[in-house]
Amino acid sequence: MGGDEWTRGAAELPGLEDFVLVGARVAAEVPQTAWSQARGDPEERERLARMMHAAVREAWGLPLSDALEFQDLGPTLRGAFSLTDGSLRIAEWLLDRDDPSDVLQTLAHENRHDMQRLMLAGRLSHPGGVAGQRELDLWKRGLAEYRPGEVEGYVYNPVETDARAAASGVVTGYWRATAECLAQASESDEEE
Amino acid sequence: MAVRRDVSDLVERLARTGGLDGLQALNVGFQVAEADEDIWRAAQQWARTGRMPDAPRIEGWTPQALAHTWKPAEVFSALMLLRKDPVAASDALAHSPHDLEWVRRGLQQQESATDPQEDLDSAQSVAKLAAVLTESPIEPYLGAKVYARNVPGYEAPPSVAGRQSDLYVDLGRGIVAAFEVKQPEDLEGWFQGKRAADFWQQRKGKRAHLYFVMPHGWTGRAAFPREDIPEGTEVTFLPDTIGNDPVLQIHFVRELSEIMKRDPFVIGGKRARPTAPAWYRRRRRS
Repeated sequence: MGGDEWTRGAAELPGLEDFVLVGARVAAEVPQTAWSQARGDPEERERLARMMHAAVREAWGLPLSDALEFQDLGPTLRGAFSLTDGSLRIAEWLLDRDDPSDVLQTLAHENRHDMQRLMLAGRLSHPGGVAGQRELDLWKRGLAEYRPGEVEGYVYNPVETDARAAASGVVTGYWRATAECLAQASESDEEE
Repeated sequence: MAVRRDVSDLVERLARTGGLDGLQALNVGFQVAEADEDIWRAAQQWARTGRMPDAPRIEGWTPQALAHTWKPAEVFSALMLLRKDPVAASDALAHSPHDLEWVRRGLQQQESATDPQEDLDSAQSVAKLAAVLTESPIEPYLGAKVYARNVPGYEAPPSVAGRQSDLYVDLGRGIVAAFEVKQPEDLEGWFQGKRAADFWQQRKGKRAHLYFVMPHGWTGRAAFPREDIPEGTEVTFLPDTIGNDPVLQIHFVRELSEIMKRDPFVIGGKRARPTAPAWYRRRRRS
């Protein structure tokens, strides 16, 4: 594939803006102020995190799922899918963090993996059309070549880089929408 | 001036306890020998003591923390990557590498679908089989407990954590049979022997398999690693678990016989043999 063709193909893919919109949607459901107010209230934090989870899944067309658990995942992991029962497991310490984007980033990253799985299974269509099909092919190749336990093969796997980009975009959207909301509130105060 | 590093201790440790063969251990050893001094020291310390040190700390990660998720050989690669590309490595390492296995399941579901309308992996399908198993003679016969993925009330036991099948039967004594669910539509290809034979060839020597035909036309391929089977365990093939369809029963026994001829399944010094259904044995006697 020539450089121009690649550029055209890439241009058709959903980019940062699409992910940013998902983040804005989450910000509307779970504003940063609500997260701050729930400080010291783990049950409320968990409820808010579940709302974020639902908002991300809905925005990406994923079936809604309650199979979300907050657990001790050890000292390094923030999130993981259970290969045994398919539930999504999130490190419980993320609920203690006052920055809501810590838990949102992990939820977005993991749910993007679930979206990839369903797209590869043919249950969801890739929103990128022809370019999306190329991306699916890239994922397939990445998964075929990946040997479990290889750090570099994992970190730079197309499936993993896509999840990172998606999560980064969602978090960007969350903070942009929050900033806009604060700016509007400030303008309203000044008008009054 | 470059300092030549002696990789022998590290290579020996990697080969002895790191799960690598000699050549792999040598490759990893030379790779780690290119690392910064602090990472190299950590590797040397692990090689000498067998304990992962808690230094250096790179982007908040230590060898000890990484060892919770990664094998020793990869711990040092991860540290090198954290230094080279801290943003990407830090983000990726915070999420489980098993996630790629989870995504890969999408491909497996696509490949195994015989009918696009059918959802082989749906909780509904597995629930049906779980119900059949529970109600069938299998559970009382084996004294086994049935577990299924994504089905409330059939939560997987800790002993099957990390395995990827749809349904598990805990046979006791440390043996867990993992079933891969096939729907009745898939039976024809299966029992023409091609798929079973191919599968057997792929896994030959690695896993022992039992093939079941469930009541109502469901099939299950039960597999458990040979090394999981305690010495002296008797494994019996259970004709009573074969469905009611006589054609399927015969196919099943023939298929199993072929498999057993190719690779006898010997446990505790006993050669296991497939057993024909009782009605078939009666007919042959008469």
